[in-house]
Amino acid sequence: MVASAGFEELWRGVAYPWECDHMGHMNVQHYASKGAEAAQWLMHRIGLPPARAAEVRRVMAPVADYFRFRREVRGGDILAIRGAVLEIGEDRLAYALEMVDAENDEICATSCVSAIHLDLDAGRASPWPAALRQSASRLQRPWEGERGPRQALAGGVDARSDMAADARDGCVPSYRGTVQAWECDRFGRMAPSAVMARFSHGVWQFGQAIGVGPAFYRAGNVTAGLFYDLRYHAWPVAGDVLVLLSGLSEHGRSSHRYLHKLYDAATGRLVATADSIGINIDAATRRPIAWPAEVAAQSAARLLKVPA
Amino acid sequence: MSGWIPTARGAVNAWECDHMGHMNVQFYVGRIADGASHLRAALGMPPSVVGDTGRAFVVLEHCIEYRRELRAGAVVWVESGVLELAEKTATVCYRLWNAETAELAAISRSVIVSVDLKARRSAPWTEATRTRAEALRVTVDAAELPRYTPPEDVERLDRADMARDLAEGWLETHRGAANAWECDHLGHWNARFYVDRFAQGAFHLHSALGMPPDWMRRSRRGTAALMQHIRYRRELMAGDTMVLLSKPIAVTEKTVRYYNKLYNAATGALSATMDVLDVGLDRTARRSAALPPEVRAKAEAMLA
Repeated sequence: MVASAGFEELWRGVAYPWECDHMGHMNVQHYASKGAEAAQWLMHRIGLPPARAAEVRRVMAPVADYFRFRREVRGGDILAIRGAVLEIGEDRLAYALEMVDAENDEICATSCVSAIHLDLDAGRASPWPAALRQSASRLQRPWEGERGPRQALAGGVDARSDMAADARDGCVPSYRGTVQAWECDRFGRMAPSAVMARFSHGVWQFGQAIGVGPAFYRAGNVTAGLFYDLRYHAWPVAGDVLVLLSGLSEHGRSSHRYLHKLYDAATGRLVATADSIGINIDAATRRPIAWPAEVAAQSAARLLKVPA
Repeated sequence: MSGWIPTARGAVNAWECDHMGHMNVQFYVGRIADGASHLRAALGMPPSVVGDTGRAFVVLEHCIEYRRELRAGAVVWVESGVLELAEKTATVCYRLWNAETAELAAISRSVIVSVDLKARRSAPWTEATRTRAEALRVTVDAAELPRYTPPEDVERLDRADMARDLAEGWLETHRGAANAWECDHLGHWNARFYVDRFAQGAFHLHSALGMPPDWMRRSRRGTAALMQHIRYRRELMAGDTMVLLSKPIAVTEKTVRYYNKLYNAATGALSATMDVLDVGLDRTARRSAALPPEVRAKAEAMLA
């Protein structure tokens, strides 16, 4: 895939070693963090700059975010994010971001975001003012990128808030913690990158049960995300307690497909979900390789029950 | 023709703001460090090449003027250009803009040095880099550039002698160690973290001068940096322990200027120095404010 024409630069910076995890590549949460900065630039470009947003108490908030990772990013890589508006609805807006290696214009990742014009006080979407719709339409471009998983998850992602049912299906707790003050944006809401960080914990925790735990990684093995399809259902604030339930929805020769459901542990309310695929890659060539036989066997035994 | 190129772009994250309600100085320098990576690429030293050739540049000196506060959510971008080019060094300029207001939030006149990372020493610029640097030449009105006049007794201030400093009334304002995860891809303790430690030290100094955290909270007052002149002298590596000593060198109704010496605690070598001008801040009006008279008196008493 080559970088799209007519996209506008919305972010420019660097991937640092401290943003990399034990896989030797930039952790998924930092794609989300840099993407969220790009989204604020986009807001500015469509006529909702920071001061105005604070005054009218309206922001562009993502409700769905599909990250497709094309190439690993290493510490020291110089990066840029370019974006364009895809569609404008009554109170919605879809946009695409392309993260490129600024050195050679290679696409590292894309994301397709569905956002709402959020009324911060009412806590729900409100119609876009005509002026904003007009300026957003000027940034509208065609896009060939992936807007969602090529193969939909069998049965879809259950968006019900029902931890007991998830447990019956085979989901297990894979993260438990608290929303920290420094993970929240200026309106006090948990940032998307902080949500993504929990899913990353979930993969590592759940991995232990199927032979993809710390010992697997210490032996020099590497896994990488292929995509994350996120849905945001609520915006926790600092101090909220969270629990993540994760399960294995599919497994392939070199892939694992995970279902993650992040809950507010106190209210039992669903905060966010993710359907994601992680792949086993060769540490040297960084190309997909088959799971070891014992991982394949354990994975088969841990598959989630597919909803009827 | 303008040689300015965009070298960083983003938005101010809420977690980059400190208890003064604005982006902490370390993140201004972080954005400048981002700009440096993109400037390196524009000068023919992109990441893929640096590993093979070992040729890069590192910063010797930052002279940064902070012109406007940046609050959480602000959309910002950095542009860079080359002011002067010498055999091994160059003076470059970074301008950090608030895109919403079109105001200049900060400007840095920075001295960089060409290095051979393999030999770990400075080296003349290559011809290819010189050619690229010529294309990035910019001129900035002298009045626009940060101006820096070193203190008269700068040689005495720069003397590396911790024991003598402490005997002469310098205050210990930070003590810590360089964390491995604070090192960048060149293996250097990133410039942002020097400024983080200097900024942590600032609150200790202000507390010692009579502006402790509780006073800042109750009075809704505080401080903000107007100018920082930082000299990177001997790099710290992951695991190195450090001690920061600080001392006021000038005081006015609204400002206090103080000198900071960041020592390698194990070797006693001077790792970096920062001459900084801070101004009193009214956090409600978001305006500069006079320092309390007793703070001025205390600072004056420490000048000698």
